[in-house]
Amino acid sequence: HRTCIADADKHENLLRLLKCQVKAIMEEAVTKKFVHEESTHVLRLCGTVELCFLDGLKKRVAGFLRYNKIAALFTKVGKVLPEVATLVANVEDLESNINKTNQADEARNSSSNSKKHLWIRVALTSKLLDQIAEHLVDNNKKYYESSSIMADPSRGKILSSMLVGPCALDFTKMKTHDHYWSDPPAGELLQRHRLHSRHGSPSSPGRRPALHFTPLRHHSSSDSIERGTSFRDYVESLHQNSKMMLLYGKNNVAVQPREDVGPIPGYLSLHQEASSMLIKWTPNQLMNTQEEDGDTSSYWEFAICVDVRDIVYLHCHQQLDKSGTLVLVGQDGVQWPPIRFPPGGHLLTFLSCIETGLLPHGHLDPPLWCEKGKGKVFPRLQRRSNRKSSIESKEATDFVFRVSSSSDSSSFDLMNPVSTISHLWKPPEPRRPTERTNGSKSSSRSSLKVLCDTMRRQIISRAFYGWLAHCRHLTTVRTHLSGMVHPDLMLPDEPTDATMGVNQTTWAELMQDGKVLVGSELMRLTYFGGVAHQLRHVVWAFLLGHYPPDSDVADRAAIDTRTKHQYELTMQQWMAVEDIINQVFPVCCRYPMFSIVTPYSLSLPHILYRYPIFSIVTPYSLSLPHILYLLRQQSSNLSDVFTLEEVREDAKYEVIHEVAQEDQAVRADSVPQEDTRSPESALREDDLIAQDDPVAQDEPVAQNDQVAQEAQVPEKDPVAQDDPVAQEAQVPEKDPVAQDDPVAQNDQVAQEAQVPRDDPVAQEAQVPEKDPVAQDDPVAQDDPVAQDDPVAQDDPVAQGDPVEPTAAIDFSFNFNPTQIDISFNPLATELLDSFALNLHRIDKDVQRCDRNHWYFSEEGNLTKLRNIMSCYVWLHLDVGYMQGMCDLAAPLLVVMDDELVYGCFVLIMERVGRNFPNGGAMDSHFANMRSLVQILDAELFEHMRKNGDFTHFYFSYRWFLLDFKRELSYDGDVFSVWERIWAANYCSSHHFVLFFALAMLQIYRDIILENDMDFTDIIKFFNEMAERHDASKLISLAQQLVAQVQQMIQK
Amino acid sequence: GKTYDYLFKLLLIGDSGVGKTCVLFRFSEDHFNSTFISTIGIDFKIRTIDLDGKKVKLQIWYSEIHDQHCKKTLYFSAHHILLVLHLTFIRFFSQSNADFKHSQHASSDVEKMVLGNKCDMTEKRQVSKEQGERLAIEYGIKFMETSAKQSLNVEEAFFTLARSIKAKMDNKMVSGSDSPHSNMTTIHVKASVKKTGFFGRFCSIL
Repeated sequence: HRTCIADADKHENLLRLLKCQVKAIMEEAVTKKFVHEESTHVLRLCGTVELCFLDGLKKRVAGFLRYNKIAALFTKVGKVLPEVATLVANVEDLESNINKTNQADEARNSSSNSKKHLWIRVALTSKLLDQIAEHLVDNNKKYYESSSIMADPSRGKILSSMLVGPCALDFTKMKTHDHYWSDPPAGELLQRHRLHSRHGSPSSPGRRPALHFTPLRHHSSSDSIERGTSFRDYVESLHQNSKMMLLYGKNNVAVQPREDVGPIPGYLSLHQEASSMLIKWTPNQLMNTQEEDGDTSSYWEFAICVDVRDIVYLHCHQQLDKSGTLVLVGQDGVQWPPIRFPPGGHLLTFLSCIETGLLPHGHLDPPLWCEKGKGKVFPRLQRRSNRKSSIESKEATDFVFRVSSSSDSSSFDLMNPVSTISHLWKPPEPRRPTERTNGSKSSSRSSLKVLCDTMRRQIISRAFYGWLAHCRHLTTVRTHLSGMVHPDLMLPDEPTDATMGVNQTTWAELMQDGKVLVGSELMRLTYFGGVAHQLRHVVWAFLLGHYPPDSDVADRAAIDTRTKHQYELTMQQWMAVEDIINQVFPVCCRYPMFSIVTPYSLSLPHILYRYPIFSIVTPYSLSLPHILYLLRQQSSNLSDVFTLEEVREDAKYEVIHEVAQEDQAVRADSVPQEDTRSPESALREDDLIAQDDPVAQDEPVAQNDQVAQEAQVPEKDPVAQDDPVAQEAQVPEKDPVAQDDPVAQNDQVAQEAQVPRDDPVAQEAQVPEKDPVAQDDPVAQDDPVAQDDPVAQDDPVAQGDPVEPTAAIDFSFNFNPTQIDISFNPLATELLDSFALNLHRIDKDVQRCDRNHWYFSEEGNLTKLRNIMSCYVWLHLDVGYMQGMCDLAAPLLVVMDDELVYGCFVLIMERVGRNFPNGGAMDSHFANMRSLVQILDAELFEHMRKNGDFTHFYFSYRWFLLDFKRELSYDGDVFSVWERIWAANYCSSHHFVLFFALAMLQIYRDIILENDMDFTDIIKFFNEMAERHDASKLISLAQQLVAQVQQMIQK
Repeated sequence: GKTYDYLFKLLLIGDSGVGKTCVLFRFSEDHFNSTFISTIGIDFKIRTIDLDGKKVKLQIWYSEIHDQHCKKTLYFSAHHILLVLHLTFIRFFSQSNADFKHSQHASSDVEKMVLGNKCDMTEKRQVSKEQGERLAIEYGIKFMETSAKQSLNVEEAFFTLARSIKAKMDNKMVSGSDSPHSNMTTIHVKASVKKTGFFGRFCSIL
C-alpha cells in the first residue's frame, strides 16, 4: 500500500514534469517558429519520456538489449505497427552512422548531443512518438507491470495525449556552417541527405505549427532544476567547475520539503557564477545514484536551486541544540522549506559565505558582526554573545537578514510586478516569482493576490501575442495568396478517379460525336493523371485552347485549314524579306564596311564630337551620312547616340573609297560577294523584282555583281547623289573590288533589270519620307514585301538616273555639312534591320537547340523550328526573338510535328511571353515566390535571407522562362509537367509554375538547410540536378501545395 | 582546412553567341562542343589553379539575364564579383558597351581583360589583331585572342588575369590595406567573327 502511494506520487511527479516540458516546447514553437531538435527542451522532454517508458517495464520486454531498453521496446512495438518498424530501421542506421562519424572525427564533440535519447528523439521528429505511446498505453498489460505509469488508467492516457502536441511540431536540424566539406556535387548531397535523415520526416511544407495555445498553468519555477538527462551531470555541477565557483558546501543539511515528508538529508552548496549566486540543495539520494533510476525522480522535486537575487529575507532560527534553521523568503513573500543545519556553527558560516559572496554589490542587512579574533558572528542584539559554539544563552535567537544591494537601497521591491513582466518574452526563465512546485501549495502565502495578478497578466499577454501573430499570419496569407489559386478545390476522385489521366479509354469517353462535351473534365483528368503519349498531339491542342472544347470534327478541320493557310502566308512574307536581306546584308562580309582613320586613338564618339579631322575609308560607295546612320543603328542602345547635327561644323572629313590598307593584307581573295550598297538603293531595285524573278533572286552572284557594278558607279549612285560633292567623286583607282569584278557580262541583265524598275520608283523618289505604306505603287500594295519597302517613295536621295555600270571611280570630297540633306526613312529600314538581326539570332539559337535529341538531329526538323520561329518573330517584330523561344517550341515540335505547332506555340507565347526580358512578368514571379516561401516555409526563408540574401530568386530564372523545360528530362517529364501547367490554369491556379517551383525547393529543402547553402551553392546544386528530378513527385507535391493554400484561404 | 588560399570571382560578359560558355568549358573542363546549348539564366564554373605555390580558386560566373537589377547584383554585390566583358567587336558599341560602362563604374580595383574569341576562324575574321590591341590600349586593359575550339590562349588568359589579381592583392596586403577578398576583376572577351549578314555592317575603330 505504501508503495502504491509512493508510486502514485512518483507518477504524478513524472506527469507534472512532462507537462512542464511539453508546455515549454510548445511555447518555444510559438515564439520562435521552429524548435531545434537538439535543443535542451527537446532533450529534456525526451529524457522524461524515456523515464516514463521505462518505468515498470517488464523485464522480458526489455529483452536482452539491456543497455538500450528503449530500442528493445520500440522493436517490439515495431512488430505491431509497421511504421514503427521503419523507424527502428532508420534509427539503427542513424546510430551506426553516428558511430562511424564519431570514429572518424574526434574533433567533433557534438556526437554526445546527437546520441542523447536518440531513439525517443527520432521518434518525436518523425511524429511517431505519440502513436507509440498510445499503443503502449492501450496494450500496457503486454509491456508493463501494473504499477507502472503507463498502466495507470488515467495517467497513461494523459501521457500519450500530451505527446500529441510536440509530435505535431516540426523540428529543424539547422546546423552551423561546416568548413570541413567543400563543394560536394549535387548527387552527393542527395545521398548524404538520404543517409542522415532516413527517419523519413515528411517534407511537408507549411511548417508553421497550428497554434495550440496552452495557457499558463503552474509552471516550473526557479526551484525546479534543469532536469538534465544525467544525474551525474547535475551532481558534477555541484562541484566547482569553470563556470561556477563553489563558496560553501555542506553535507547533512536537512530539508523538509513538505509536511508529510520527513526531513531529507542532503548537500547544501553555494555557488557563485558571473553575476549571480545560487543556493543549491540536493537530496542525498540523488547525490549517490550512479545510474538513472526512476525511483529517484521524485527527489528531483525536492531539490532546491535558488538564485540569491530572488531572496529578500533570510530568517535564521537558532535552536537550542545549536543547530540553525534557515528560511529563505522570496520577493513575493513565499518561503522556501526550512533548511536545517547541523549543530556546529554551520549556519553562521553559511551566512558569512553569503555575505562575502554578495559583495561588492550586495550586503546583508544588518551585516554580520565581525568580532575581532573570532570572525563573523551574528549581530549583537542586546547583549553580547559569544561564538555560537560556546553560547551560554539558553534562548533561541532569531535573526532576519535582508539581502540588499548596496547601490540601490530599494532594489528589491517586494511587490513589483512590473519587473516580472519585463521577463515575459524571454524563454522560460527560472526567475519568475510563481508558486513553488515542491508541493508547497499548502504553505502560507502572503502575497497570493500579487502572484495571481502577475500570472494573469502574463497569461493575457502571451495569449494576446499568440493571437496577434496568428491573425497577422492569416491576413498575410490571404492577401498574398488569394490571387494565386482558384477558390474551389478540385478533387482527384470526384466525380471519377482522375489519376488515370487521359488515355485511350477516357479519351473515348470524353469524346462524343467528335466533341469534348465536358471541357472541365478533360482538364481535371489531365491535371491529376496526365495524358498518354500517343494522344498528346491531339489533346494538347485542346489543352492550350487551340481547339475549343465544343468543336466537332468539322470545326477542327476548319481551324486546321485556316491555321495552315495563315502559316503559309506568313511564311511567304518573311521569306521574301529574308531574301531581300540576304541581298542587302550578305551573309559573309569580307571587308569592313568602312573604317574611320584618325590620327588619334579614340573612340568614335570622341572623334565626332571633338576632333575635326578624320577619314573614312571604305571600299563601298558610302558617304558620311550613311556611315553615321549605320553607326547609329549599331549604337542604338547607347546613351550617346550621335546625330549629324552634333558633328562639328568645322569638321573636316573625307571619305576615301578604298579598302583599308591593313585589310588588304588580310584578305587574300578580293571578290566581293555581297551587296554593300546602302539599303535604300538596293531595295529600290529589288523591291519590284517579283519574288519569282529567277534572275534577280536565285543567283546571288549575279545580284552581287550587279550590285558591285553600282559600287563602281558612284555618280549614278542615288545614295551618293545627295552629296553634291559626290557627283564629282570618283571611284578610287585602286579599288580591287571594282577591278576584279567580272560584272561586265551581266551588264545587260542588270541594266535591263534596272531600267524599267527605276522609273516608277524614281518618280516617287520625290515624295517625302514619312509615309512608308500609303503611296506605294499599286503593285506594291498587294505585295507584303513592298509594303515594307522603305525606299520606293522615301528616298529623295534617289533622284536621277538609274545606276549604270561604269569604270571604277576614285572620289574624295570635301564635306560640307550644310549641304547634307539626310532623309532616309528610318522606319522601314529599321524594320529590315531588325528582322535581319532577329534572323541572325534565330539561326544561332536553332543551331544550338536540343541537338542531342533524336528529333533535332535531322536538318529538316531544324528547319521546321527555324520557320516557326521566323514566322512568329515576323508577326511580332516589336518583341523580336529572344533566347529561350526555341526551347519553348521544341517540345511542341517533338510531339506534334506539323503545322499545329505554330498555333500552339503562339498560344504558349501569349501565356509566357511576358517572362522574357522587358515583359515584367519575371519580377512578379520572383516577388510571388518570395511571399510564398515566406509564408509557407518560414525556416527556409530565414535561411535564404541570412546566407547572403538570395531571396531575389535569380536561380529560378531559367525555371520560369522555359517552364522548367531544362530542368526536366525531355521525353516524358517535360511533357507531363507542361500539360499539368496548362490544365492547372483551369483546375487550380493560374500560377501553377510558382507552386511547382516551390515544390522544387521543398523537395530539397533539407539538403539546402543542412548544407547551409548560399546563392552560389544553390545555383550549382540546381544546375547539376537538371534533368535528374523526379517529376511525378514534384507534380504531386506542387498539387498538394496548391490544395493547401486553397484550404488555407477557405478557412 | 580550406582547399584554397585565394578565391577570385570572375564575371564573363558579352553578347549572345560570342562563345562565353565555350571559353568557360574549355577552361574548366577542357572540353569543346560546337552545339552547346544556349545559356539561359545564370551559372558558374569553378577551377582551382596553382599560382606560385598558392591555390587560387577561380569561380567564373556568366549569365544571360538581361535584367538590370540582376546585372547590378552581379556586378556590385558584396561578394567580390569579377566582371568579365565578352563582346563582339561590332556590339562593343551597344549592349556590351553598356555592360562595360557599368563595369567602369565599379571599383577601380576591378581587373579587366578583353578576349577576342574565335580566332581560329581565320577566313571569317573581321577584326585584326592590331585593331584589338589598339582597343585595349584605349581602354587601358589587356587584350588576348583566344579560341575555345582549338584551346588557344584560354588558359593563358585566365592565368594572366589571376596573376595580376593576385599580385595586386599581395601588394595590398603588404601595404596593409583591407581584406584579401575585396577585389573586383574584369575580363572582357570579344568575338571577332561576324557570321551573318547583319553584322556585315559594322565599323572598325582604329
